[in-house]
Order: sequence, then C-alpha cells, then structure tokens
Amino acid sequence: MVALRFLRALSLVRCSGPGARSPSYRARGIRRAAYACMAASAGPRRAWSRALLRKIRRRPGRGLRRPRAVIRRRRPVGGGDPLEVALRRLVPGGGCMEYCRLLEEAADYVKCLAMQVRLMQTIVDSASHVNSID
Amino acid sequence: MYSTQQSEGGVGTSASAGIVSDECLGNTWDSLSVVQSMNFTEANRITSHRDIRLPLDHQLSGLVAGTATLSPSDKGRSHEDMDSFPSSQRHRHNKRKIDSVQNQNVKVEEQHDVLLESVKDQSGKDEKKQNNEISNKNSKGPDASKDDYIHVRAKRGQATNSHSLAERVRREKISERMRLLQDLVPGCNKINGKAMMLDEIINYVQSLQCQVEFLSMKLAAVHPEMTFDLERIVPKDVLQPCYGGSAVLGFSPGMSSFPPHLYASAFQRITQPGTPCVAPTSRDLQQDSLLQVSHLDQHLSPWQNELHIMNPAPCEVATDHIGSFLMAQTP
Repeated sequence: MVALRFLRALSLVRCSGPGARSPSYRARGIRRAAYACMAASAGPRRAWSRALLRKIRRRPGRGLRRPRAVIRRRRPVGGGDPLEVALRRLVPGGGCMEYCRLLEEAADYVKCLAMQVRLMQTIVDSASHVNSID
Repeated sequence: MYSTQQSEGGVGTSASAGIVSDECLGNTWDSLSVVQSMNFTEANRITSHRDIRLPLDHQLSGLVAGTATLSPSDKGRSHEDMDSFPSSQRHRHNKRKIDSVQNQNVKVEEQHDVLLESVKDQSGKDEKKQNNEISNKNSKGPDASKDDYIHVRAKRGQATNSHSLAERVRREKISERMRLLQDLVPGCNKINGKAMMLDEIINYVQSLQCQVEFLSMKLAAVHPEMTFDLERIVPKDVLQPCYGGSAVLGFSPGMSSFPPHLYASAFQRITQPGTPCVAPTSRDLQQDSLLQVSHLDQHLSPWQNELHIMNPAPCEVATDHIGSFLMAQTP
C-alpha cells in the first residue's frame, strides 16, 4: 500500500511543473510525499501517523487555526532522561505520550520508516538502472 | 521413696493404663521419661501420623522439657488428687493431662503439616503465578472490554504493596516493548542495557530519517527523466506478486474484486525465478503498486485524499511509465 500511494504522490509531484521548479523544491516535495504516504498507509490508529499528517497539513501561511476540541498535552512530561527526551523529539507526536506508549509508537514508526526507505531505494535504483541502460 | 509409696497407693486404686501414668505423674524426674513414653504411645494410638513421628519426638521432648518445670506443682497436685479424689476423678485428671499433651501433639502435627504444605506450595505458587499470568493474558482479550483491571499475583518473596505491583507491571510492559524494538533495530541483539538500547534506537531513527532525505533528493534529481506509462503495463499482465505477497502489503478490501485469472498468469511468471511468496521483494512491491494504481482510482478512501495536500496545483494524473523500465530490467 505504501508503494501505491508513494508512486501516485510522485506522479502528482512531477505534474506540478517539472521545468519551473528547482530540484531542492522538488526534493522537499518528494520528502513530504514520502512521509505523508507512510503516515497514510499506517492508518489513523497510530498516534504518530495522526501527528505526522497534522504536521504536514499545517502549512506555514495558513492563517487562523480552527478552534478544535483537540486535547493536546494530556500530561506534561517531566523529561528527566535525556534519551527519553530525544526519542520524544524524533517520533512524531511523542511529546504527549506515556513512556510505554512512546516505545510502542517508536517501534511502529521504525518499521514503517524502514519500509519507506527500502521502497525509495528500490525506485532510485531502478530509475538509475534504466538511465544507465539508455 | 516417693515411688514406692505411690506405687503402693496407685496399684490398689485403679487398673487402667491411665492410672498407671497417674502413678508416674506424681513421681520424681525419672518418671517423666516414662510419662513421655506413655504419652507417646497414647499419641500413637489416637493419632495416626506415623510418618512424621521423628519430628514429633523432638517436639515432644521439647514439650516435655517445657512441662518439666511444672512438674513439682504437678507432683503436688497429683499427690492431692491421689489422696483426696476418687479414682474416676483421678482418671479424668490423667485424661486431661493426656488430652493436653495430645493437644500439644496435635498442634505440633499441625505445625509440621503447615511446614510441609509450605514446602509444597513453593513450587506450586510459582506454577500458580505462571498459570495466572497465562490466564491473565488469555483473559485480557475478552475481559479488556469489560474492565481495565490487570490482575497480578505477587510472587513468593515479593512486596504485595499495590504501588509496587503496579510498578512491576509497568516495568514488565516497558521491557516487553524494549524487546520488540530490539528485534526491529539491526545489531541490537548483543546490547543488554536499557540506556544503550535507547541510544541505538535513537541513532537508527535519525539515520533512517537522513536516508529518507537523501533519497528524496536523489529522486528529485532522477525524477524528470522518468516517464511512466501505465496503459501499456496493465494489459500485459505485468509481473505481479502472488496473492500472499500482496496480502502482506496490507491489501485493501477493495482489491478482492480483482479477477483471479490475472494473478494466475502472473504467478507462473514469478515462480520461475523462485521468488518466495511470503516475503515479496521491493520490486514486487512496485509491481503490485502498479496494478493497484490502475484499478484503485475508484476506491479512493478519505484517508488517501491527503495526497492532494502536497501539491499547490494538482493536475490530472499522468499515466506512468514505471512498468516500461521495470520490464526492461527483468532478466
């Protein structure tokens, strides 16, 4: 499912004007596409996928935020362990979770990240292979 | 001196065994040993715990030694009993004594039984705890909806405070999650410490995120040269992964409407290189995705609409040529 979404997203990114944009802009777009596909395929059940999509959706020049009944920061964490704090920063949505939950979400996040990396690596390899053939 | 007098007095008055002990009761220290043996025989007759005779002996000797201090007063009392009370009362008195000693015997036996049971329980309690754990795990599924209490049994020799129990449960949960993470992160089998593990996990996540960035830059560089054409691919029945492989990917329910013959034809192609079905390669991922791309447009779920967020000006979906260069690659 990840591959499906990612390829569709790639095609969408490509459509937005190949000549006009700089590679860095495209790279950023591809990166966002990659994360969005990852989060979308993980499903809404995971806290990290929800947080990641929320982060992607929130564009910088958005204007006023809709007052939502979202309960953020259920429990302010007393970050004593620097390792725990670092992990919370890395995993999307890791600021409000308990330690147990954090480890669980981290495991799922690592799994999906690894899959995404493998997929992108394959695409790049095949693309470069095709180019080398031609 | 006493003994002779008592024996004279005792023999005449009674003929039961209890009375014989009565004679001995009122005598010197030497008689106590006789009392001991008498009581022991009495105990044997009445109670049937023969297998634990030995400790009883010791217990009895202790008891008798304990009661030895009382003997002078007993002696005096029994003296009086013998003199003043009728034989029946003497008998009763003796019986009372025997009963008391028997009670002590019974108590001793009970203590010993308790000891035995405790020894047995040590192994049983561990089993019980295991069973409880297993039953907890089994029953957690159906019961989790009813109530959220986690039933834990304290092991032998551990604190039974509610706080420590809850802490122990939490610690076990955390260690379980750490084990899961250990399996995911490569090269973490040898590391045993929690801090080192966390360090490795953090490094791995950071490296994965860096890889994603690097690969996206590479893709951006390669991307404009790629041309995709799906229409060519689909009727060709491009090498699709087997059904099991697609199931691994998290096949959406919409996919079940696919005609099976597509997969059958593709299956034959795939089996020749001998690719395992259960673990599809990433190439299979892409090929599967191609098919999905062509057929899944009507199955857009709201979650998939997120993809449209990414582009400021989304245009029509162009057909892709991924399949073309993939076909070129297959040996």
